[in-house]
Amino acid sequence: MRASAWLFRATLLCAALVSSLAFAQGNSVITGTVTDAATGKPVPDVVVTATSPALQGEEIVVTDSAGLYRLAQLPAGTFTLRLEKESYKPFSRADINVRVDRTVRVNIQLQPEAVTGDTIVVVGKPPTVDVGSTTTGINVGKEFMNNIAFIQPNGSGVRSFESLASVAPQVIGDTYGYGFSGAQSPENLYLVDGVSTSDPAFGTNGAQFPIEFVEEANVITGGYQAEYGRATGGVLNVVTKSGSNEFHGSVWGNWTPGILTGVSPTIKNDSSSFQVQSRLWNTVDFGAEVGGPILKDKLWFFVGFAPSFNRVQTTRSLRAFKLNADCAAGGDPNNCDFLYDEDGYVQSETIPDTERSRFTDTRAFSYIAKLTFLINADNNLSLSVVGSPTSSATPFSFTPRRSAGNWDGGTVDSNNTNTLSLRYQGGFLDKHLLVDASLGWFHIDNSSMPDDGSQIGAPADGSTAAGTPAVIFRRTRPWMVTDFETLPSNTVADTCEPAGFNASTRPIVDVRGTSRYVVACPATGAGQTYTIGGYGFMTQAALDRVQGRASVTYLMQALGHHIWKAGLDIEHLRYDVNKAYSGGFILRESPSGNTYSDYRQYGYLIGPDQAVRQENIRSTPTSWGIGAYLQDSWSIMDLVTLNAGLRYETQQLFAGDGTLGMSLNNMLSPRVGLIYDFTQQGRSKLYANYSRFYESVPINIADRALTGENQYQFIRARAPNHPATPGGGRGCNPQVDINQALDQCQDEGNYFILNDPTDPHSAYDPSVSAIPLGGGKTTVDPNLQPQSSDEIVVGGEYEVITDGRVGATYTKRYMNQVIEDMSVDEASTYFIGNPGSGLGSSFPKATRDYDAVTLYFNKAFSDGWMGQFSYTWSSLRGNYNGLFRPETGQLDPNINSDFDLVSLLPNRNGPLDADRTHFIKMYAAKEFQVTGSLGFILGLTYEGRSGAPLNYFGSHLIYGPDEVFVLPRGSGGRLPWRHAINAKAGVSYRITKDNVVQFTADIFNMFNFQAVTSVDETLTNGEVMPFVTTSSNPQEAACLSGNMLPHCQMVVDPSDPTSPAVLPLQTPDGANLTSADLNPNFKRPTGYQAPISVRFGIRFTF
Amino acid sequence: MNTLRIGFLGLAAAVAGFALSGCFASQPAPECNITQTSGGGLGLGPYHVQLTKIDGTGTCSEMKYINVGMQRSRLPPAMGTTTPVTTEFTLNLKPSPAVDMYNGLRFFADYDSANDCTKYTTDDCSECFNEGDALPDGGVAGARDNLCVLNPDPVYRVDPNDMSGTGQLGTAKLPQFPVDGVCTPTDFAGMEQNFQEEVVDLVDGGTEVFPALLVKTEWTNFEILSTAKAPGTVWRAKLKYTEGTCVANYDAFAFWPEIHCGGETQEIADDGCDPKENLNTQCFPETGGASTISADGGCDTGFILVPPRVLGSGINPEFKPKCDMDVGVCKPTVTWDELKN
Repeated sequence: MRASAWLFRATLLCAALVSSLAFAQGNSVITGTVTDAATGKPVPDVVVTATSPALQGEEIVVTDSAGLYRLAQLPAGTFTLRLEKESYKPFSRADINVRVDRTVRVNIQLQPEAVTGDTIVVVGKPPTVDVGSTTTGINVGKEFMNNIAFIQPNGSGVRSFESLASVAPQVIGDTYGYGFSGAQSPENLYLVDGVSTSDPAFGTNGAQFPIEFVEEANVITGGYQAEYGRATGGVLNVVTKSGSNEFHGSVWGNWTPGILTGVSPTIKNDSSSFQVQSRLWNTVDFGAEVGGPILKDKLWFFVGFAPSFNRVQTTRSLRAFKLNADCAAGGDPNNCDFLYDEDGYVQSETIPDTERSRFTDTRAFSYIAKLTFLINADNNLSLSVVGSPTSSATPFSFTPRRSAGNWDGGTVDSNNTNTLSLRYQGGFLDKHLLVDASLGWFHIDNSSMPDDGSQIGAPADGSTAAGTPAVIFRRTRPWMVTDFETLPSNTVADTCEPAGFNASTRPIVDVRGTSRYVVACPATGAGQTYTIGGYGFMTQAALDRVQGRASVTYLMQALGHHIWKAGLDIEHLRYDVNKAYSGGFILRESPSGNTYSDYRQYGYLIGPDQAVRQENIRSTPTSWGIGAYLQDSWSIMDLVTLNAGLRYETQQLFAGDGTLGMSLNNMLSPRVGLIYDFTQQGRSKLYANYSRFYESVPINIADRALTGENQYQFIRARAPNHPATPGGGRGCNPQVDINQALDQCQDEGNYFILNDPTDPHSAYDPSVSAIPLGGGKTTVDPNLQPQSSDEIVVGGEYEVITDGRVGATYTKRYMNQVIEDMSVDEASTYFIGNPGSGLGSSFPKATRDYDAVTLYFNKAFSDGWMGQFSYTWSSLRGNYNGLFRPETGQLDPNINSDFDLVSLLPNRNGPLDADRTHFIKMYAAKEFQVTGSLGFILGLTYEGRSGAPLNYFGSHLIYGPDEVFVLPRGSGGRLPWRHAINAKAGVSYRITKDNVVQFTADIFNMFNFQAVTSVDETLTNGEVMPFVTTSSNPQEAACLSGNMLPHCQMVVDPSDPTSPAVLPLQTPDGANLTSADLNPNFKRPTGYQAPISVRFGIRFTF
Repeated sequence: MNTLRIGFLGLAAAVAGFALSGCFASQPAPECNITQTSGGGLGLGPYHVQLTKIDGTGTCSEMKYINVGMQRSRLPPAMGTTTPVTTEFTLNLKPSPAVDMYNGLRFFADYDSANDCTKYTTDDCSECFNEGDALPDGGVAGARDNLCVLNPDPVYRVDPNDMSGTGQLGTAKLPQFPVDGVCTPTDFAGMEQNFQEEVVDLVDGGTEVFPALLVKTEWTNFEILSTAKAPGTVWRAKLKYTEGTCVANYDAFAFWPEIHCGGETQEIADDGCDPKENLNTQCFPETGGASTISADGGCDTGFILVPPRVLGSGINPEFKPKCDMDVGVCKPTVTWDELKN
């Protein structure tokens, strides 16, 4: 095992040394044909010179014998072309907009000298259609960023570059970022100056920095060539700003006052006394960026610094549910019930003097520094570093974290990211051979720790937050708030414990024929938990992604124009993670309240019942990945472009102990595209493309599954001398005193004896009380296939007005193989394989079918206005969402619970979480120039989308809450449409030629629409079997149509258990689910869209 | 130009090299592992160990199967640390024969010879039968009136030098990684009990003597499959079983999990072993003791055979299990070699 790992590394090293001799390529291209205006014949040997503020120096090429020229390796920007040749009049054409990764065609006719006149300056705009590629998506440039209100600050207060993706059609926000074309955000490739900033462990975008550092972003949703790999989603390619020969820069500030921010409706919950509401208090960011020459025409710099601050106020109040008169003394306990309002919610009243507020402060200090060095006219070198140290602090917890020294539940989370890039670009052979090579290092440090300064490894003595275990209470018969918190004495009698309340037994009363607990101030029950004690789960991690990329582009002529490109990239991922549970473990109460077990505890057995607890576990899994590609862009007769490429990838994942854990080989991705410009002027294209994409597996899997986590637990009795224990222990009752968790809860006399002589499943258990959890390293199917998806894109685009294009695309994507962990024996043994094949052949194939049609109109900024409008119809169906589970938020790429057990699989097919049938995105901006120095801008944004599908979730016997699809996926109907209109208004005053000051106001959700964005999809917190149709049932149609209760009667009414008008749901042991098992909050709102907010900005540009 | 040529050649060589390296790399072999028998958590049962007699006479040579519970533990960490040692594991075994004797599931005091219902309380006497009545064993009550079937009176066997029964457990060394898909534990120890003589007072005043008994299981040629198809869920060995003066040698073939099927009616047959079929809708016998099929295996639609399994028999489909009506257990029909390769 180790030998093969070393062999592989040695191969890598050799290859890296050899390949360091080869370089390659450039990004954007201007191409075209130069003809004689008089004869129409091609003109060879014309000197074509490109200049641009974005370009250091000039780019010069010469037309070939066919009159063709090609300026490659250009940065994004606005270019001017100058053409010179003896016997022809000099020619100049300005305002050629070139976006990142785009090819624009500019055909030019030269006038012979014989014609009188001077230099010909063409005023008409050149075409903007990208005739060189089949990529779908959009470029976001500075005009868009400056004129459109679309980026809200993230949780750190940073208006980060990642949000630029949101404006592209077929992009939708998900839990961890933005999903492209039906895929999820961890499946994307995030590139900053050519360096991948994907989180090595989880695949999400790891970097953040403000858009003020961004020159341009290319949002590629599909149809991309072989040079892009390691992604089954899309590509977000961001280029940061660079210095030029003139000093330019800006200073800015933005402020979003909480007082002008709306408040969303209160989210009601009939299961808990706690009502928590958060609102923005303030968001402030400011900064400066400047670029210029260090040595004119030779060495340039760009630097920027941007602190941002975000403060959120969270308020928790306690409320008491109102009970009817029968609950009081003298009433009929059988009729004791809550009082309900007209909407069916339990009436409640806030308990006076129980409101507490706290601020959560997040700070980020983003920075960038870049040097660009022009070695000579054909070679340049750039070095950049960009990062954003971020920290977030919450001062205290609303639940008392008792007996953890002076700690009051405060937390500190930090996340520091740095991206370092060294890049060389060069041209040889009259720029027919282009070389692009880069070295990149993306690094993340993050931690989640308590704020009392205690660290992982603190003594487990209860004196610190890191040294005290957390205890989770979840008794079904509710604990009351007063069991944990001291309330004002007069309020207790008035609200939580009214007259007639029996403190010893709690009023457990039948309600509506079922045994629902009628408690005025519940802290637990109905799935609610209450946690006290130490910090809980603590992590400290350092992640690295070290990359080397090199490509060679060769321009040649053979039956047309070719751009050959070959490239090689190598990635090394490292995930150094230290994990611990404060105090060494987390205790969790059983629903009955009679026992406490080690819910989480790292450690292992060295013999039956002989446990060794690990206070922390540290693991450093790694991965090596190699990619190589060859592609050709062949322009045939200046009419058709054929793009063909092949990409090869391999990835080897190594476990924390350095042994090979998983090997993904021979990933061959063909990419073929055809583009036809029927105008032959670069003003149109019809195109089609086929691609195969392979996933780069994030290495969380190498930590959690390939290294193996070992845990163990004991079950201990709350009361001393429980019959199931050997006795002699003092009992374990941390509700009375949290210190018991470390003291008498550890008495072996409290431990349950699990050897039941009459139970064949436990009688031969070598351990009497210890339960080992985790079977070490997870087995990998020897025939494991890498995860991949295929994509077909067809589309067309036509320039209808200057700088304005209409287009339509159709995109189809589907999964080939998916990597997931599975268990054929219901959670005893697991393996990693492909659902539907190999060892996973008894599981259904993982499917995710995406079909989308997009119609769009894009108008680049010119003549004082811009616009970008798109409508997308899409369908996303299947049983596999991607690398995270939206239903529970689980982000364990390739080892999510989706396919873990056969019993989890029924009802999984249907509309997936990101399915939005309709999505409209409209962005427009107009500039009004009042005087030569005074101007106004107005930007408007509309985003509207239809709602997400809803589900009926139940609790799985083994896997717990929300893992069972009680009815087929999507049966619960859909969320409503969501609309948002943003506006931007600004005034700018030009003080001097280069000095402009601008004031702006951005209004987000200006009409304060408050659509419901999420509802409680938990039908029941009780264990339930999926309902699988066996025969027609009169209720089934109602339930499947998403109608809410009472139309959909899914449970047995005990008063009429034989009623046919119900959809019988059963618990795993065959009992009928009853209304008592239903979640009273089912389908009630749990989230609303962000309310109205206003951001004021000031910017001085020089 | 030369540099460029070298660059192209280097790139091509690198690509070819990586392609080849990819072709030759394969998935790592699984660690030596077993399915942990545990009374808590997921409640995973013991292995079903099918026995084929090689030689021996007496009752101890007539066993069709036993159960063995297993756990894998680690070596003690170095002094002052908790870092697990990964060079090898300890295999912990708990075979059923001595455990059943210790737990009172193997020996029972005999019936009262008088068979007089009137002498006993209902606690002792579960049912009385008149002549001609059907008896639980399938026979018919004879001429003796008022036949009384006494509730079993379990006899708990104890090793006087090992009152807690730790000697029922055994250990062996288990390597970290398999060789050619097989893990070979060595250095077996334990699994021996010297039960003392027990004299049991019978209900009618008599006594019954259970003589001292040496019970011992000895394992050789122990091989655990460690492949993707059977990651520690199948093993085989030679078993030398000693029970008093009776000594027998067996070929042992063990698999996990033990799922019961068949039952009195034997109507469900092979379907019950279907790894994907929902058991809840079927008729299954409820099993009683550890080594026998309950005589009154009735149908209980709500009964889950291996709690907390939700669905299916839980048997690896690779086993292609079929019901063995003889012992009422779903058994693999594939061979050792098929699971190995």
